[in-house]
Amino acid sequence: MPRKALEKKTDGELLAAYRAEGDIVYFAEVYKRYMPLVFGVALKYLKDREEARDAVMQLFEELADKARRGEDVTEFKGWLYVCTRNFCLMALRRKERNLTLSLDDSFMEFLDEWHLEDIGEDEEREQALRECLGRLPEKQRIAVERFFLEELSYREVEERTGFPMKAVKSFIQNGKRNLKLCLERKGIRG
Amino acid sequence: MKRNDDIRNYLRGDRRGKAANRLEREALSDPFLHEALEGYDVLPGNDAGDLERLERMIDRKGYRGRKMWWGYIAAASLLVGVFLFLWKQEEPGEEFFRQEQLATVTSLPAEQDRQEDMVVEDSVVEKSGVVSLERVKVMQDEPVEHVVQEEPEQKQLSRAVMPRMQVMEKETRTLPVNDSGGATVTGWHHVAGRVTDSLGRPLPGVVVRAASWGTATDASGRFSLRLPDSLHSLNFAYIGMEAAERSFTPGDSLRVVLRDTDAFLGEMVVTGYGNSRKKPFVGAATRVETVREDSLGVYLTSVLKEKAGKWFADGIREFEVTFKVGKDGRVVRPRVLQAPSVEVERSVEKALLEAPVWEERFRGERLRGVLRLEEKDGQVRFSFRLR
Repeated sequence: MPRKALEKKTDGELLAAYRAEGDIVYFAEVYKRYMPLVFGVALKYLKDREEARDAVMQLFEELADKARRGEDVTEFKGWLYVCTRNFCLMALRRKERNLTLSLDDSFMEFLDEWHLEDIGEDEEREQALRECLGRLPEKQRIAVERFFLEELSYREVEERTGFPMKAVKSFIQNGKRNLKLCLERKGIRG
Repeated sequence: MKRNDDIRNYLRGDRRGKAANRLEREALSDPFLHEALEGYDVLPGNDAGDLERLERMIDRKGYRGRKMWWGYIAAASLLVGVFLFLWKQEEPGEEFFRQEQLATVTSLPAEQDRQEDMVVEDSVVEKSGVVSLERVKVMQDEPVEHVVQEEPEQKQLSRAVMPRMQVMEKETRTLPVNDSGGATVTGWHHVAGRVTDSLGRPLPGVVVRAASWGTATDASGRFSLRLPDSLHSLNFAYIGMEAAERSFTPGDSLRVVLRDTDAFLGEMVVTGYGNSRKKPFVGAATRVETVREDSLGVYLTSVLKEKAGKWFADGIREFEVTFKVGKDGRVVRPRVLQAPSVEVERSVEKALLEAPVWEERFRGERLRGVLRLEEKDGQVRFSFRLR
């Protein structure tokens, strides 16, 4: 099977082919696309490199089975995310009876479709954005400007501003939220 | 896929620039990506390396089925070949076989103690009938006594389970028969070498491979292999060692050093079920030993004895560690700074976590110090000095 041909197929096509022909190569291809995400999430929850590696392999086998049995997987990535998290949480629960998960920094609004970069399009928006940026607490403003307007990475923002990485991330998140609220008050939606 | 490469570059690189910004921004609206990046931040280590290894493992699973299928075809054609060979052989009778053995001995005098894997290509097998008939014509002029005389030596040669098959294989390799020997193989070259671990000790039984040719190292870690001209690199694999790939030019003698993998077996947890009865306690309780600055080295030496020797041999002399001593005297969040290797980092951090409780006066403090490895009376010891 030429790999190039596999690489061109979409997730959906690969899964359909896998269900029809049962050849694990199809599933391996689609799984590998998201493997860095699976591994990262496993690292986050299990906090152990070896266990995370095992989790990636075990999930591969388990999900290959489920996907084969025709479990309805319309959106592979979302499905994979849910499965990965559940798998990790189960693994943790086996280790510790009373598991508490902190929601501090992973608890955020992911689903907003709002993007700062779209805003510079017309003058009214531009004006509103400038005003709202000006009203942000200074540290948030600096972090937001560097990240969204100058397109610096977290690490670069950290170096330029001297804020610790964790602070950079929360300034950006809070700043973004405040900006959004401020713009909405002015009647502008992203 | 593009996304996949993005993350890999991000992990491998220094996380700067527009590409990094784009990924981080994407993570703001993608919880999966967001959590994954968090995960990579939490644990330091060779993320890109781990990913590559995982990908290889998955590939292996993905393509195993396919290989088995080819295996069946190869086995089937082998059977047909053997059948043809035996059938042809019946015609000239007993003498034919003797003469054929002679052919091997005379054409391949240096072949005897070469360690070679037995590889039989389908096409070779199928052609063999023709090849052997040609040879019968050539050899019939030779005196028969000579043939008998050579026979014991030949026995030594055929060490495989199927002596006939091996004879056949060796002949087809050396004889200038134009259309035999597989479609792609035109000539052969030698490569030999020695495989050791990082301390220079020979590794026996290392699997040495190139495409479908291969062998294993002998007791002194040596191997020698004859390969088609088209192959110029060898793979080395051994349990507990990182696999290695080396390229060579014909006639080379390779010195291959395999490094230990940092993959350990997981811990085993033993859980007990059932009731235990409380017994009255009589006697004196031993005092719980506490750790001080000067006894940490002794503790580490006792738990990491074997590893320390290896690290010392690898040239590791000292590194810094920092950790907090909790209110209960236990070590919290140990870190090896600029760890010389993943193994050192992991083993030392684990050992620190499991160390006995620290003395009263250190509790609640963050400590930082240098761990030094020294050799005394043939044993490698740790010593620890606070900063």
